[in-house]
Amino acid sequence: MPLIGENLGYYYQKERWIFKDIHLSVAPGEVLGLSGYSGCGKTTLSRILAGYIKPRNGRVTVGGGELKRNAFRPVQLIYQHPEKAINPKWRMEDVLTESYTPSQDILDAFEIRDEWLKRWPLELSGGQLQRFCIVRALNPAAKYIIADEMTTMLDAITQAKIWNAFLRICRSRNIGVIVVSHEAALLNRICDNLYKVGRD
Amino acid sequence: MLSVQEGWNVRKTMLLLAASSAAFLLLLLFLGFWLSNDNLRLSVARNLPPSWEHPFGTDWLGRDMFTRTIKGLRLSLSVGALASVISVVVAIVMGTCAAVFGKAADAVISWIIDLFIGMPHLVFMILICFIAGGGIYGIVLGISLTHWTALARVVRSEVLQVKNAEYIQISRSCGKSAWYIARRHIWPAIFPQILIGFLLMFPHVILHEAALTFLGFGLSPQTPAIGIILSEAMSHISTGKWWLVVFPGLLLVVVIKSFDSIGERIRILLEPASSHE
Repeated sequence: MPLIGENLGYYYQKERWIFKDIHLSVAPGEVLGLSGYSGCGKTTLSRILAGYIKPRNGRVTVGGGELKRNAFRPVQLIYQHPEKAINPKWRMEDVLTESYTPSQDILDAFEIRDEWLKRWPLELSGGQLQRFCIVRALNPAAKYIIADEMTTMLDAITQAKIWNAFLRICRSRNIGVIVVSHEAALLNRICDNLYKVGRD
Repeated sequence: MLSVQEGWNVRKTMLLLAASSAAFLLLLLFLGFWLSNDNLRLSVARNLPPSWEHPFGTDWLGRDMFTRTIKGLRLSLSVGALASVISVVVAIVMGTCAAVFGKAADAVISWIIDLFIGMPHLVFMILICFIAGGGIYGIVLGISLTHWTALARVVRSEVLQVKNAEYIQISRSCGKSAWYIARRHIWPAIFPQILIGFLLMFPHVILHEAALTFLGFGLSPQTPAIGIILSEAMSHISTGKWWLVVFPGLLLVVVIKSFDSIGERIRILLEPASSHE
């Protein structure tokens, strides 16, 4: 059941299209890279694909059906800023278990220490928070994950570690991944296919 | 890390302060029930300054001011608490509805808020109090129906601010219901504003209760309510009976301050930025 975006178009101000006529398709287990210049609509496109906003044109389907509004969405989005994606008033264990209860294996894969679970988001760094966000998105029911500039704030070594763990789990569960980034080296390294958003 | 958690820390100080404020309020409540009504009978011991027998003195009818003050505080606080709780509940419901249920609901609720604010406060309260037939019932109804508006506006704008936060969108994408999001994400975010609004409403409510009573729509004059005591005492202060106004007024300030202190400590303990100090 592939994730397909047909004929997608979106604008914020009437008739000033950010992008138009975008056709995308990701198969389970595939890693697709989205690249493009800043402000070309990569984030908007990923929000549409994840069902956060409705496209002005076209539609998004997973295995033929459209995304339902009030159920768990099989397409999960990981945001660029983990500080904003975590409720500052919750302890980290609540943040994790909001989606599901992750197994110890996954926590170990992302080197999340037990003592972090009792802390407030304020007391962890951006990189640590982002690992929680990744684990939270890896819900057993997730079929596709969109990583929107997921590791931009990390140093190269941590980036490599996280991508390794993340892609290993996605591969083992046959999860399709969309990687949004403007780092060509990263995209070339991990993606099966590339898609360029926006005109050159 | 561990050494901070063990031993004496700010957290424990906060708990102790909140507990002592709460204990003080409970003591007042207990005293209010324990002191006998006999002290409120008229007697020959008129206009006595404070002494060991009458810590707050006696008034021009020979009633013990300490008993009157404590009993008055008990009544005023229960009226204040009841009216404030009702106002806060109305404010939360109205504010959340305005922010969550789209533009039409927002317009209707904002219009109702404007309507309530536009009416002169006291006139509106007198009207409601009069319709409800006066007494404690009328006061609580009159005050709680007129005091929710300002807080509802604050709640509305706060909810509007947090409801599009990324973590709430993520929660929605996990298939969480609107009720879950309101309960776990939105209300904790607006809790400090609600708590402060609730505590600030207290003195307001007590003063309005006094005003209504003064105008003859509220409690009967022999009921010991702090508002009545203060308004009666005002006419005697020029004759040098300072104890009639100083002690009840002081105690009222201390009680309000204790509520404020409890609220402030709870906020500090719940706020992530300060909870581990």
